[in-house]
Amino acid sequence: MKYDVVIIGGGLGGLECGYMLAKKGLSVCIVEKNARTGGCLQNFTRNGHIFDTGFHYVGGLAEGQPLNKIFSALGLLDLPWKQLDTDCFDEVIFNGERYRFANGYDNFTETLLHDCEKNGHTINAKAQSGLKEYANLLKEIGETTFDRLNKKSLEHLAAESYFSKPIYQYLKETIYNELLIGILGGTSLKMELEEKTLPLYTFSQINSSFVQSAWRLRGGGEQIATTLAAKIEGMGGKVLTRLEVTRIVEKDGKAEAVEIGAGEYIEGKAFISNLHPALTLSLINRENSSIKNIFRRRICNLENTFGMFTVNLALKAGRVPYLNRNIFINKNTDTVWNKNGERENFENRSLMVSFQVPENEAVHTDNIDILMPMYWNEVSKWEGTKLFRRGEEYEDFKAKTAEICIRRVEEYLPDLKGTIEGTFTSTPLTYRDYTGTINGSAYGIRKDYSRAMLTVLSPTTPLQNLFLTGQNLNLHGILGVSMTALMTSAIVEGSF
Amino acid sequence: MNREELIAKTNEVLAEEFEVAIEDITPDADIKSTLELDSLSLVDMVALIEETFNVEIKGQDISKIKNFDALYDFILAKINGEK
Repeated sequence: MKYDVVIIGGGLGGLECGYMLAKKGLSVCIVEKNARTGGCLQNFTRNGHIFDTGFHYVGGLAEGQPLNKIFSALGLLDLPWKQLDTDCFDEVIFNGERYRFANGYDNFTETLLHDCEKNGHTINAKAQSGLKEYANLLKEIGETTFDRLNKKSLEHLAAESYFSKPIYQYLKETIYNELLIGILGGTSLKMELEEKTLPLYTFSQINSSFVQSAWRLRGGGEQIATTLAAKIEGMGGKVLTRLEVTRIVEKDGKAEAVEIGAGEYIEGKAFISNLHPALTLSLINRENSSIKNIFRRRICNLENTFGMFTVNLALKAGRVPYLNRNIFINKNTDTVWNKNGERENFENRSLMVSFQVPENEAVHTDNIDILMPMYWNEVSKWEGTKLFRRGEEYEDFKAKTAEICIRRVEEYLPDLKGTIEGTFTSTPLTYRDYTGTINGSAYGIRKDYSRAMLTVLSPTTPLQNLFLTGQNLNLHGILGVSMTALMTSAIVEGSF
Repeated sequence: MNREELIAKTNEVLAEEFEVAIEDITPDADIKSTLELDSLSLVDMVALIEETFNVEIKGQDISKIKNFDALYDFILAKINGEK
């Protein structure tokens, strides 16, 4: 059978495209190499506790907000979403000082200014008005989220001023206050805060959606994937797991089929790859290809963001109260932004603490996740090893790093150690091997405001019926991937 | 690198990568039509120039450059400015 659309990779972007195109009446086949779909949304079970891989919370899901519009169209609003506290969805800690991120643009600035005063910091009128200007920017970006999707041409997208402006410089010139700039970056684990590269758009679009509203999903992120997969199959689509695409077969400047093992092929009229663009290109033979070498080189030479070290803690029942907010632990406001490529050591690096929503509105949580950015060169010496067989030195490295993370979190959650039933850790190597991200990168291709044209990618490729989707193109995160899926689906639909 | 050397190098890499006859690349010729660039391959050209001459090009710069003569001027200014 020749499908209208063959989708490589059953992560969020692939599933969303599959759903949207199946809904338009096209025959869709999704091919996923893992046993389960979801990519970074996958759950895993240890000691009877269910943990998330890369999903922790989403923004902008309340009525009228951007993700609500997309998830409503995808039929995902019926999942058991739990809104985080509106007066504090993220609590940012610097050396013991606590700052609350609150929902609503006005409430957001008022709460931060209140907490600055409470912590003994005087914010002058100029910085106060700068903070309000920043909140207005978030509002504008939040309200115009979908306008950017109309700019399908890469030239227009790259020329988009929000992409080609540096956020750090904007904050410096607008707010004039290092403390506030540090605090605003304090929930930094949502993205990589590289002062020299991060575009205004990436920072503002993501923060805007969380200031609108913030939500966890009771039972884990994989429900998003299983729900979409079931709906796609309900519309007659195919979702094939444990099948790895080993080659994209090209003929006369078009993709013709995907090879799924020796001599077996799935044919399609159009193809979407949800894989990293560099991995997608590695599936296409160089010989007689209409893809220019310079296209391959420019895609493959792009840098990727940091990865994550994750500590998943299975907790004894009834011991740790559930907090309906995230906690971000930072050393100092001046160590939040990465400057000059310097990396903080594990004692000073920012941490995120996420609480799993308890079942049945119980007051205690069963699981806590601690996340810390980790760079590829910190684990690359084990890059040749395979899952569960990386050796004693690696296990020792993970155990010591987890110990540091737990000790640092204990400063704010006393006696945490005594409540732990099981500790499970993962590094960028784990992410690489389970989700197929290059170097275990958490957010894919690093966007660079000064090179927007090269680091913001189009869904189109030199093969006229091969398209890209996923976190690497425009914006990472659930909202970013969903917006990109809308864009990719519209282009694919238009190609028929 | 003087202007003649720069022109020769630019024409050589563009002709090879975009598979056009080097004689078709003349100072007054329109870049997009000569190299048959679409929005995707325009970015390839930017990447190729960046790679060949070790310069950085911004989106707004490239949108102003229409013919090869302007491209040579632009690269030369970049090389000299960044030394």
